[in-house]
Amino acid sequence: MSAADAEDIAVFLEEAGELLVDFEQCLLLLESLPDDAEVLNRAFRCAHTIKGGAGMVGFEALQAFTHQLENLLDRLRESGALCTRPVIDALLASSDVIKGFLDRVEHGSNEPAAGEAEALAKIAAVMGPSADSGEVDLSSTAPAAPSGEVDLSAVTPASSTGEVDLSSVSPSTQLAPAPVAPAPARAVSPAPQASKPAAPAPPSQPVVMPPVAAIAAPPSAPTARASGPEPRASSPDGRRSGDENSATIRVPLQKIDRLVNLVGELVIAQSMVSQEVELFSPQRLNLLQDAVGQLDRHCRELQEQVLGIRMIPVKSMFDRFHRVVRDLSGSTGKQVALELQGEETELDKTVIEKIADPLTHLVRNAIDHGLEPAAERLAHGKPAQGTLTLSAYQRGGSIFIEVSDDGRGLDRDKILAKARKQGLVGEADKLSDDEINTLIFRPGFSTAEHVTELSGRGVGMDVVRRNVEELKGKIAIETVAGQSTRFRIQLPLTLAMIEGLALRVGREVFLMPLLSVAGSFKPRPSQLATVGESSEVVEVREHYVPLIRLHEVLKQAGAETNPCKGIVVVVDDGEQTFGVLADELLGQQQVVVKSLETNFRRVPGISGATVLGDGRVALIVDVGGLFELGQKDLRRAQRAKALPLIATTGPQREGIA
Amino acid sequence: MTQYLTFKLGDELYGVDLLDIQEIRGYSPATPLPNAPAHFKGVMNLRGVILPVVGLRTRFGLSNTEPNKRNVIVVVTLGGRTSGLLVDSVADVIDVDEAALSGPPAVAGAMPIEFIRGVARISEQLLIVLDLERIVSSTPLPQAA
Repeated sequence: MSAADAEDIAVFLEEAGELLVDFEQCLLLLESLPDDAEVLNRAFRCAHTIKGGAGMVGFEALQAFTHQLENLLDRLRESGALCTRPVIDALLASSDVIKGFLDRVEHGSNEPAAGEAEALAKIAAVMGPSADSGEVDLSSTAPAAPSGEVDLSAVTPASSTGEVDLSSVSPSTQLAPAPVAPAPARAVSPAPQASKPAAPAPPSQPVVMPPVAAIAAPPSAPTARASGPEPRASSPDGRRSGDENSATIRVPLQKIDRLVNLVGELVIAQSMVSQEVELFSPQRLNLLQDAVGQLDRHCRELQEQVLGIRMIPVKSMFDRFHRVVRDLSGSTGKQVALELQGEETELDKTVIEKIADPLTHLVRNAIDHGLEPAAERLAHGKPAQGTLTLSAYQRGGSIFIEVSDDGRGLDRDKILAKARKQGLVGEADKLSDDEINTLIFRPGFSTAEHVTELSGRGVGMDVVRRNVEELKGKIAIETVAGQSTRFRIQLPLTLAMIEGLALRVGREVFLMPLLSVAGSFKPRPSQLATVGESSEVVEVREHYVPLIRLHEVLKQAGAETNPCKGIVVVVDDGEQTFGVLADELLGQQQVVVKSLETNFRRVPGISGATVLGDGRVALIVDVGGLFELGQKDLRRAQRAKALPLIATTGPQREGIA
Repeated sequence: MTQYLTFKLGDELYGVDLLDIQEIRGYSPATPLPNAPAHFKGVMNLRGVILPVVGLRTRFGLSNTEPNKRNVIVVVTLGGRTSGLLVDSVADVIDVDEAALSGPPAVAGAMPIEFIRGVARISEQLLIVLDLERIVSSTPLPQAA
């Protein structure tokens, strides 16, 4: 098969993924509005489009599965009363089956699918055991099943009771009853693993592949894998880069039109500049300046618009939480209403993809820990139903995403007690409310008394924070005991650019992400002090914070060593506030972030690089890493200082240490 | 027959597989990387790509000279990663028969033997064929920690 096929499959996967999200939305809506024909039709259309697409790229098994699903949906059309919770559950399960299938194709995995037949059977079962026409043939989903197909839509709930033989009695099929025994799926699994193109049995063979097996090895799937990026299966690294390369983004035509217009403007401005340069005379200087100014404006606008292409509304991600919340409220038995705000807020696509996991974690936590059971809520005079709010908004150059609940709030006493018990905090330490709140982000910390499936293993919140920090963001907590908890994630608009503060250290220029900068000042000698001889501190608004010398941690020669002659930039990495000594502030500028890891590797204390206006490379400082580096240098210095006292015989040992 | 790009460090002639070479460009000062091994001279801007530059003299433990305008950066791409090699000057492109290549000598001065794939005599001069993978790798050699 040609490369175009792989491309088609990629497009199909992306579309099907989106349709599936929509499909789930519809199902969830149906639960509350069972009689809404429009919603049902939308769900139907989603299933139908997936079916069509699957047929087009040759995933016959998936096509057959969605065909059955369609039939079942058709039955819902006849009677809205069928939209009961168990039915919706079953339909959601079937959407998971499709998702599982798509995931497997995407990752080129050879794993046999499981649960397709079960899912369909479950839906049929919960819809009501009613059939007069006899058998329901589930195995007909196999492309090769020649006959015995009974339309499920014919099985109406109103019809007289008959036997629903889910074990599918198509004459050519010898398939064990799907709902009771998932075994047949496994029994045939060797075939798809071998991934022979001939996996779906020829009609003459007595044993017809059950849908499960057929889905696992659609004729084109192996080819799709083969023509995909090679290292996928072998190296996780290769796979990641492969996925990134093949990732696509859907851009509204309007955005592209604006770009095209802008480029037109830019060309005009450029020709104006050339013309003015050609005709240049001192009298025409102002005309040239105007032209350059226009060019400047257009360039900036173009830059903004181009970055905007990567931006998509958070709605696509927020919408997934309807399902998450529904599932969780089911498993915890708590009543939860989900409110979404600011869904139209746009965020970089990569950021959206990477923030979904931490958000899910926060949502799980909020429902598991934050919201109280209905009885407890009522006892506290709150409505039985808890409210979980997801909101997004833009302020300045940052996007904020908040997860808030009207639950019991963080129990600071409990957190503190637990932290003391775990030795994270000394018995005598006095912590501010904010400091206590941030304790929950420590690795291994959990206040849950019982480890549940949802949370309580203590591996959640620190991962959340790490994920957010990887996106160059910050996370903060606001909580009112007995009333609410709010997690606020602050993210940069895009990862491609940052607002940076340019600092000169020695002969080099470094950029400090403005998001972490709290201020800067020239210290007076009275504001400087040392603690334990080697630790330098500087006074910032009546607090002493550690002072880190950039030229020391970043090994720059020829820099200013007297803090009173340099400048101290106060930074906050979300955990620590400290002062950073640089020679001079050069100003604030927007820079394009380039990775050092593409061609090199991680460098401690440096998060990336950028190209300055003069073409030179400037390094971007990693604020969190800077503090660690400072601590490490300090320890080394202390060891070096302590060493001569012990090892008087071998001064050269210092070098080894 | 394999084609090699040859370049000089002092009087010695070194060769690298031509297929690994992306381009050759003049030297311009690199931005030094803090806390990186000494042989990484820093990073340069190669048309918007951040290019790490390996100083081959430092890498090989040869006498170090301050890079000047006559120095050349050989840009190589290995395993999807692009790096620059700082060399004294580029000499030529030559064909070498694989059979003419003998294994690395037992001694190589300060230079780690692992960096040498083999040597060959090319018109009165010894060509030292390099193993680039090891040279541009940012992980230190086990014994040279």
